Amino acid sequence: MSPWKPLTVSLAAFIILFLTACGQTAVSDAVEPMMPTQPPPVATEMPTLEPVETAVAQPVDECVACHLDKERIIANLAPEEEVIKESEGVG
Amino acid sequence: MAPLEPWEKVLISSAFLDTVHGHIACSDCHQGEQSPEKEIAHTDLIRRPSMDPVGVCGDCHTNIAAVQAESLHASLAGYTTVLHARSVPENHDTLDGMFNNHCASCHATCGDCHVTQPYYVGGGFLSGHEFQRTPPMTRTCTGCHGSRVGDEYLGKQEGVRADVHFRQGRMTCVSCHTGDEMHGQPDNCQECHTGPVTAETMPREHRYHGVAKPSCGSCHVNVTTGRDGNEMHEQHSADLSCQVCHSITYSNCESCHVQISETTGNPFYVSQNTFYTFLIGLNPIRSAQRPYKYTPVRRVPVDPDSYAFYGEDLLPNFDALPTWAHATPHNIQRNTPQTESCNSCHGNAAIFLTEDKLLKETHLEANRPVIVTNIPAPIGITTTETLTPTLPIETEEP
Repeated sequence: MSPWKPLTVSLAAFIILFLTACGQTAVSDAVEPMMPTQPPPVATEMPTLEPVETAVAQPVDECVACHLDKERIIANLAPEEEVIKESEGVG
Repeated sequence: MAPLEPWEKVLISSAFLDTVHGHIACSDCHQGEQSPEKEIAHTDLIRRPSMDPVGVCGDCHTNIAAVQAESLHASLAGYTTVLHARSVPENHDTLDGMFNNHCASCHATCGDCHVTQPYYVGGGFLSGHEFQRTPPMTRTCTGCHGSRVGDEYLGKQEGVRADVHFRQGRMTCVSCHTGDEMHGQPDNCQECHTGPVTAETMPREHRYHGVAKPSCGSCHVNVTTGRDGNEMHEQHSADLSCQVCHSITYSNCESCHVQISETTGNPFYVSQNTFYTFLIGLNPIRSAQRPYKYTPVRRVPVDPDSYAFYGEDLLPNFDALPTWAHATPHNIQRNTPQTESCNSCHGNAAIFLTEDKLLKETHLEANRPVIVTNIPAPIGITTTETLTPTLPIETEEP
């Protein structure tokens, strides 16, 4: 029997114990990997985007539109009626 | 007041749209319809929305709108007060109808001062529908109060100088007549007591109702209390209104008659005579607020048959009120013919309203309360001989 055999066995046992201890610690700290439950989606075509309204169109205020427009007012003016002044003297 | 072109009356400015009122939808006040077609857009249009001040302006301007409807600008109560006083209850409906035909167009809404020229003088935006916190004097105030107050104040009557407050101070109407007064608000109670005050406010019956506002004493405190060192003020501050000495000749009208035109169907009036004079009468509305004995009096143009078109004898109590009324002419001068000497008035019957000056016999009884029968006796000294002015003599413009 080799005189190194007990020493070799002890050294092997120590290494096993050491590695076992390290291995347990490593397992406890490790994050368990997520296992995919279904295959990842495979893009087959570009997604079609629904149109999104970013700016709401303001309705035209017809009152403002007309009364800001001098020419339009003139075009729409009712014909002036001649005012006959019948009063006399200071009112 | 220069007339506006028809388009100019209704053209809004883009600047208006940036104002607080410009952010309110047009239809919130004016109603109407949204349409590019004028006839459709103007369906049920309210041209003068502040005819309903509480409903339209009152949402924000609560206190003002609540009392404005009772103000003289809105109610024109001064007219109905004197019409009814000269009449009897059974004639009131007829007279009110006459009033609506001939006089009610003077009614001023909020917008008639703050948005447009008054409807009475043709209307039209003051500045593209932008609201004016302080209405411009010559486009709003004197648009209505023109032939007497405006012409007097601005010196437009031939040969009569403008009021010193305008000539030298460039003061406008609102320098004395505050917004509270124009809106009919009672003094300044609301500075502390906020909220609608209609329940506490008695409507004014006429322009000289209640406390004298404005009063000369608001600025000239020492003068009206006779403590400015001027012997005339010390002697007369209690028995003369300020205008007795500091007003000059003013316009008077007489014999106004109203009718409905047979040709056009429109109401019209004929005022037969306008003349200029200055006359001192007895104060017909003497009270704690106006305690003075003498005041200038102005002919008001009513005659017993002024409304005869609407019926006979509609003013059976014509003599209940004088036709020479208490007046506050707006042509104040520091130096006037009356201030030249004591005897400008004392012993000078020409300056007083005496019986012989009544142009119509039918007005004699009505004017008994204002006719001066005892002319103050002349005195032998003059102000220039005895009084030393303590204030610098006014430098009059040429």
